[in-house]
Amino acid sequence: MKRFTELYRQRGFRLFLMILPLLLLIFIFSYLPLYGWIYAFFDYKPGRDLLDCEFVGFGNFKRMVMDKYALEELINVMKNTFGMSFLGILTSPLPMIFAIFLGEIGNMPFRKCVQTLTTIPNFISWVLVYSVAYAMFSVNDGFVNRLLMNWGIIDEGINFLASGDHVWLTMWAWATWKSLGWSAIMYIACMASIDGEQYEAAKVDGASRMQRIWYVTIPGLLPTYFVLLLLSIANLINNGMEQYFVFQNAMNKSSIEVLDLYVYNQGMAGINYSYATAVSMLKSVVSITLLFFANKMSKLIRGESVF
Amino acid sequence: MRFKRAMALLLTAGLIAAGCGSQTAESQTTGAQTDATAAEQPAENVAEEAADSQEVVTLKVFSMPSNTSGVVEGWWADILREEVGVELEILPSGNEGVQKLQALMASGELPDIVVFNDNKLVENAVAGKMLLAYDDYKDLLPNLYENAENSLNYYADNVSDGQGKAYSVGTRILNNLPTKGSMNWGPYLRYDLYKQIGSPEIKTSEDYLDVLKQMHEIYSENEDGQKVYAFSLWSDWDGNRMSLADLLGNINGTSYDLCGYFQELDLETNEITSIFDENSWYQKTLRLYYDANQLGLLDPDSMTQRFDDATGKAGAGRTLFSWWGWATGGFDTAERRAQGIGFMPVEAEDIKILHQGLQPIGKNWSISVSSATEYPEKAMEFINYFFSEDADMILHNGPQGIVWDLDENGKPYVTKEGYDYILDGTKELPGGGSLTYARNTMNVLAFEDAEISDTYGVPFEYSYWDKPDYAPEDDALTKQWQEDYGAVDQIDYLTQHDGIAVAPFAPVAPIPDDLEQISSRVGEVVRTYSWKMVMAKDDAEYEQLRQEMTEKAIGMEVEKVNEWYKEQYQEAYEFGQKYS
Repeated sequence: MKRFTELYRQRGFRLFLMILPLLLLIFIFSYLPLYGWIYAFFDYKPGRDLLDCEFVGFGNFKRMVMDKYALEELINVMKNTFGMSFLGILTSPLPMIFAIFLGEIGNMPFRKCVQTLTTIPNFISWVLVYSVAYAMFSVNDGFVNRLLMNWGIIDEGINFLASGDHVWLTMWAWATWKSLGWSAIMYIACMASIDGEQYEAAKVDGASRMQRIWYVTIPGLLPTYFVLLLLSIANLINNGMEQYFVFQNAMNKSSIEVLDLYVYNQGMAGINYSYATAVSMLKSVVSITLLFFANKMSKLIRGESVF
Repeated sequence: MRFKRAMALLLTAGLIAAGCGSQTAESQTTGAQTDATAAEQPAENVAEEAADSQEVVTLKVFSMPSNTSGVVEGWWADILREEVGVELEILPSGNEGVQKLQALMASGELPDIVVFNDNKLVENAVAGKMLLAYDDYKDLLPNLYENAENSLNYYADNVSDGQGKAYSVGTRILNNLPTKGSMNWGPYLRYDLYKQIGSPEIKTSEDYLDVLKQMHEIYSENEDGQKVYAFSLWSDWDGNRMSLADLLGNINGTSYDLCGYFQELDLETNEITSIFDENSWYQKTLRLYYDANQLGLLDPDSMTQRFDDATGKAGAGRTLFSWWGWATGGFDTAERRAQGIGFMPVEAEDIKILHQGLQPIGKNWSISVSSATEYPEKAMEFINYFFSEDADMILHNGPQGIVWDLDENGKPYVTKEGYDYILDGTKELPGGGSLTYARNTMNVLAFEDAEISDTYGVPFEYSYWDKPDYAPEDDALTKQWQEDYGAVDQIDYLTQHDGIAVAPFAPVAPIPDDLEQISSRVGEVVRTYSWKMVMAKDDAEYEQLRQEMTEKAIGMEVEKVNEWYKEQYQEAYEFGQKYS
């Protein structure tokens, strides 16, 4: 007891106690699941005890590189993953631009209306988005095709959903439609914190509206933009899978299968849990490589680094 | 400035709140599953309370073939409560049933009662000690042991992971072939339109397309101005093949169930062909769909829609062809049929429709009791009741005394009132629920419709019984068909023309693990390429895709799987001869 009170008197120990719950959470949710990696080394069949399953060592990893078709698939999957992520990063200033223009709208009710309407899609699940997409783009019943046919622009319905062309672009468009308003919120909040005196000064100096945006608003938002950009680079490999899962079909499969979806297709749909685990471990390796790369870049450019 | 900041904060908070609001609304509309789990809680409480007073327990059922979910209510539930003291709650299996079952198995516990659709899954569950052996509860299961002994023996010897006990039992047992009624496959055409173009001769199944083209010329839009297609397909049933590409084979005496995923069995010659062979029926079916697509006879939504969408279109009169009588989406209403409009089987001259054959050990839609169940005795009693002849008479024909009854000689007949329920499939019986809802709850029955009941001396289903004189007359469409074909019904016609190919009874053992992996890899390739081939732009692309598919499949060692199945089939065939 006495020893405990002594310990307790130390400031560092009290701080440690405060952070302990968080450490526990991180341990439970970020480290404990790593135990699941063990499945990659067995030929796991659901229902059996892991130890009753055959131990295959690095067999699943070997397969990724030794098997011609698996390697082909993996390369294709990585191409899709990075392709779509880079497309996302290229267009990452969009929410900022959207927020700026939204801020310029003088009519408050209209502005709020636009903001609400663009934010709502973020809360619609991808399954529902797909049913909306189906209602819009199915060949003969989709209203887009009907409209085009009624206007006489096309004679036959276009099969938008079962097309293997421009998949990255269409997927990017859906994702942007869903998240634009939501991502803009951060910038809207940030814009509110830009000192109003700067605008007044700019006005006095005769700056036009565009100039005020260019010289005051954008520099004010850039730090936020860069933080978000760095975060999204760290998330480069996490495209998520719901969107691609609902939109996938035989025609677009070769350009829509990103890493997360590939892991799902191999593991859950292809009933090959062990191989899927091995592939998902690959993801961690790539993420760590990216992290070190970003860290190095930061050291070179800004002279400071995380580690 | 302060004000602005506060506004921004408020705005953000408001948006988040609005967002949360819309999210709850959404989960209400989409969340059939959420509803089900939410409903689970009170249902359980009710069941527990009931268990104290009347000992009615709720058994959770996961049935792969089932298309329904929720607590079973209505007349069948009343009977179950009275006879066995159980209530059933069907868990949704949906169209990704295998994945859900695998997830349940990975968690180590299965629901009280499970209906599998693959013996491999049963074996995995046995290996994981997740099932109870029927042999340990023999005294609770007199009916099961009397009526399904063959099946129990088979499961004990072959699907018990070497333990020699029966952990599962097959359903839809059939020991004698039906002599009337209709087959599973038609193929069905819009008979009124077929008559209108002068009922052209159909020599082989390759002639269907031309006939469909002519039919399409006179009927290319339905009454609402929507486009009509010959075929409207769906992709959500695909397994290791495109499931709808089996069908030309199925009406030409070919079975896909006995020699693995990538081979077809010619029932006449007992020869096995790879589906990668250019002359296989699988490839011919793909070609048929491709040709149909070139002619604009294939619904372009085929690949992106589900079964429900496709049958919905059929129901709206937007298709001209159906492989099955049960996939016409309710287009054949009594009114339409009275006017001679509807789908009827139109047989090519050389037709050989597959009959799955005798199933002395039942279909592999097998039923098991989970070892995690809280009520093993009740579950066993339910299985026992389910395999009794009385319960099956009720499941096939509805409650006794209302839809059917026994005459003075103990022979069952359909009552006058019964025909009301038979003709109007939606009419509710006393206690709630239509005539067919009971058999659809788990979508398995102990005995096949045509199986003859020992107790009653007639097949289980009323359609095979002698008709009383008050039975309603056949409708105009059926009469027209009977006149044209000189037969009472499809099986009658096919028997006259030697048009049925019966599959041998040959229970093939579950596939070993390494081959299963190859199969699922090749399956993904086959599935994807099959659809691509159907949708190909021209012959060159079609041919290129075909070659790519074959090349990849061979590169992934599909031959290993095929060889294994060839050997297994021979063994199973010899084994099966013992029963027939």
